[in-house]
Amino acid sequence: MLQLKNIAKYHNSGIQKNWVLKDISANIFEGEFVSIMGPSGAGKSTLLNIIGMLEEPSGGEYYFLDEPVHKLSEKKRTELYKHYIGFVFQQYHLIDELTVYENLETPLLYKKMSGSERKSRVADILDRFNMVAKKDLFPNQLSGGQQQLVGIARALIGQPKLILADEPTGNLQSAQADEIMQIFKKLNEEEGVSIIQVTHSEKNAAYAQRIIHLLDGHVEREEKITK
Amino acid sequence: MQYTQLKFALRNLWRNKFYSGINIGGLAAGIAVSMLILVFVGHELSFDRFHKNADKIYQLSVNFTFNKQEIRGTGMSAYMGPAMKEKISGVDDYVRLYHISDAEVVLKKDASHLFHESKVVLADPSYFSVFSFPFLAGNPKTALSQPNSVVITEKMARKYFGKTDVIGAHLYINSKLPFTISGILKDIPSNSTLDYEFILPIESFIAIKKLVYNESVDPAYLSENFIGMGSFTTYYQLSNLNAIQQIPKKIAEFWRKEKISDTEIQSKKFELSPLKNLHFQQGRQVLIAGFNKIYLFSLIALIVILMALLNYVSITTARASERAKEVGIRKAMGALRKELIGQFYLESIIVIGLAFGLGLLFAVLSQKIFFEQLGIHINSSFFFSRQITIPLGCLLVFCIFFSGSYPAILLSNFKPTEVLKGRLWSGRGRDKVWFKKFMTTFQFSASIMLLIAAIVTYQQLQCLQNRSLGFQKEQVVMILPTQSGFTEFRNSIEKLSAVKGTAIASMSLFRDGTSMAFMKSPINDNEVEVHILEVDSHFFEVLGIKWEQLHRQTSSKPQNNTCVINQEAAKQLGYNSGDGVKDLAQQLFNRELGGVVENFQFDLGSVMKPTPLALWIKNEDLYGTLYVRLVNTPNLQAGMSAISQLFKKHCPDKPFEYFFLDESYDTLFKAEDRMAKLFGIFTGLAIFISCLGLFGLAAYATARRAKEIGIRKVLGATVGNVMSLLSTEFLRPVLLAILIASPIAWYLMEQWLKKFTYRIEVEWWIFAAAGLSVIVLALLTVSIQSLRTALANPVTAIKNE
Ligand SMILES: Nc1ncnc2c1ncn2[C@@H]1O[C@H](COP(=O)(O)OP(=O)(O)O)[C@@H](O)[C@H]1O
Ligand SMILES: [Mg+2]
Repeated sequence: MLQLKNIAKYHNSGIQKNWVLKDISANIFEGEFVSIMGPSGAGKSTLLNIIGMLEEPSGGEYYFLDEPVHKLSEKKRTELYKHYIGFVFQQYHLIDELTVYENLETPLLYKKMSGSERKSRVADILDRFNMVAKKDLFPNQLSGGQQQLVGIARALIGQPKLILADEPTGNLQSAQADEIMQIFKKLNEEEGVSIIQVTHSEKNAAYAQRIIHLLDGHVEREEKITK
Repeated sequence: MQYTQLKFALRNLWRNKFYSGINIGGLAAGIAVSMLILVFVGHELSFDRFHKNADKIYQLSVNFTFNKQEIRGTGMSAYMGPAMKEKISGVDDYVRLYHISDAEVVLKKDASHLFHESKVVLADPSYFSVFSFPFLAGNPKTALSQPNSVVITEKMARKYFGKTDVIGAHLYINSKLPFTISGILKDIPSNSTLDYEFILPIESFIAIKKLVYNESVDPAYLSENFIGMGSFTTYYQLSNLNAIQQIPKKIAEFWRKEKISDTEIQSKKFELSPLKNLHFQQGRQVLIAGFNKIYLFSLIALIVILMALLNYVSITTARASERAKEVGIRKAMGALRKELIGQFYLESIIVIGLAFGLGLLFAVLSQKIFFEQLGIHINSSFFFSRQITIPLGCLLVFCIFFSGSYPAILLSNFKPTEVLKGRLWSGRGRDKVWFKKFMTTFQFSASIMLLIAAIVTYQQLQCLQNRSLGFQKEQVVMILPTQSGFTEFRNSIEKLSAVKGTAIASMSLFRDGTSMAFMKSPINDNEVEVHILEVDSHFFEVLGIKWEQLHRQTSSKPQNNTCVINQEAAKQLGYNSGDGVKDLAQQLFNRELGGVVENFQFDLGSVMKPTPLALWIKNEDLYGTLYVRLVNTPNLQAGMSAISQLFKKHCPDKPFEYFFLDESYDTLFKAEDRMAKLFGIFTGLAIFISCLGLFGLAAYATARRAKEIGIRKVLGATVGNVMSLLSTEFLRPVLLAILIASPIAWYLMEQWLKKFTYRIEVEWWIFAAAGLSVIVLALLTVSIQSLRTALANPVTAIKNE
């Protein structure tokens, strides 16, 4: 699915270069569920953002579905992630001014989809997440867990091949977190969606098939989960 | 507490430099304009109030209708003044004035100090006791008691003598009549209707008439007991205001004794007008008719200042949510609502105070140009008079209250628990924006209306100015030789190769007024107001006026002693070449009809609408303005200097002054051009302030929506998507403004244009152009803000939690 070759990332602070990622190489296969773990500041979010094409690496090569992402124009990259990637955030990042329904519809608006198709897709996903009754509520009228459900639903609505989730359960209680993890697992197993999640919880990480441990910007070790 | 509040307010303003800058800058511009307009309006309203007796002085006028037109006359017979003083106890005194009008008087000290003067008046000695013109030297009581005395202003003393202690020195009128200076006036204040620089005794009337106008007046004219219309503008000083009714009654009484018919008495309505109102009555009929300068400018000032204040209010309330947390914490800590209100007022006091200071500075720096544009002179002492400082103080207080109240009440009203939970707008992000939208709509509606009005006004002026004059105005010079040298001068310049031809008329076109006669047509019984001009028979050829028909086609010129009328006169009098009413001219003018000419323009009135004109052909003894048509060469200068040489030779008693006909025509529109220009500047300013407000709102909105836009970009929104999202939010109120403003502007301009005979049509493209340019401006303003946000990396925006 995607291939990282010697990915490096630094930020300039004055004359000094602040290395966040050093020489990261990894392969993620289609249909795989991967967790990324590591202490705070290890560069997990940065790595996820690079995979999600929201940030550009300072060096190295990145192939997504065999396309050389590091060589593509911004417009091409937008096209690519718009169609294949869905994001889930720790802070949910729903648009406060829009209802649940409108939040779910937003990604479809940017795909030039016809009105009727948008409607049926939103209806589908609302149904799937059991949120039909909440479609006209605003985000701050929902609990954290419900908000994150909307966040996941929004990530899925474009029917992506890959879900990137940055500490999706970081703000949730464990019962709600389990619910989210079950959804991820089901998605991965039943629909073959690839998932990369960042998490601090050993328990949640174990839902994946593989764990990548980051430390100070490099891969410390990899761990295969056997069930 | 007060000190901490102040410190906090200042810090808050400083921390939000950008918004403070927009607020203060916009307000300063608005205040500068309002201040200038305030000075202008204050100056207009203060006219003639400096006289100690201002409340007691009244001018006599007579109103009558002629040809369905209201006519107001102020010329009274000599006896009108003294008769009322004798017969009515409430009349303390009277002043009669005779103004020697334009370009006919030359004052002279010696050969190198002689000038045309227009502000010369003959007056009763009471001029200086009824009115309050302070003297620099001389005795106000006796200044005009000697027959050949003259009182002049300080400025004139400097002009002629280079100093002010010139009592006893002599000045000559038209080089002949000597006058001795008996008093020096301090310079006339700019807000005086009576702005005469030379005041001569009224006894000189007979001599002046003879010398200046070549008219012999019977000396008895000044002393006979005749009550009626005449030459003198008459003012009364009243001790009992009952006299306002008594005087017209007395006049009627006199007339009844003279056996004047009752219908005649009733048709002439005599009336006393207070001196204080005079300035507003007599101003010349401005082309921009119906646009009362005072109202118009006051309205603009109000709009501009309201716009700037609305910017402050809308930006402050828009940012209220940011302040809400602070307010919530303060309330939770026990701050009283009163103290919070005080806090917000303090901030608006500081902002308004700074804006006032800055605005005052702008106003002082630009006042010279501004008032030059308006064509008025205002003494600098007026700026500090009570008429200005008091309203200015009121404006300051008004601004503070207007700008401080809404934010203070709104913000201090928040419930702390709600606010701290982040539920400022009751959870729905979409409420409350109506207020901002309303302000934007209001501001842009006003801007668009002003813009449309400015375009239409400009077009209408262009339409009037570019109309064909009915003759060839280029290369014609008007010169005023002295009577004695007139013929020699004319004959000598006709020999010059630079001169194509010369003609004479009794007045200078576009500079002087014509005389008028009211006559009743024997054909259709119409009462017609005919303007009368005496010309020689060359006039038509030299100016290139076209004949519609010329009687006795033996030459291309009309016969001497005939009368030529223009088409409009022919039309109104019912004259029609076919129907053989040959003796129309004979009956009306006591002359044979010499022909009919096409309408041509000769004064402001005829520019506005076709005006009946009769031209009396007089080839001998005609004295007036010499019209010289020059040969069309690029080197006019050589020709003019040759003419100047001959003028000095033949007319040594006069300065050589000349006016090009086309330039004289253009100066007719000077006041209107200035008004139009100022109007344009104000419109630009209003648009600028609107855009400034929009800029602030857009800046705030995009900052507030940065996170949302980050999310949208992550979800696949392109720069274009984001730009259109941000721009449409602001374009909608602007579009609404266009919809509101266009029909109102159309209606108002249509009403205004109705007053013109020659007028433009308000075309659709004006609205399109005004709307489009405002949309483009608004879009640009918003884009500056939204582009930055649209291009920003979404990750940074999302991270900023
Ligand atoms: N824009 C930036 N400028 C400078 N340093 C950054 C920037 N973004 C992230 N960093 C630094 O990079 C490091 C890794 O950040 P991040 O990927 O967010 O870590 P993690 O998600 O593993 O906690 C941190 O030390 C952070 O301070
Ligand atoms: Mg992180």
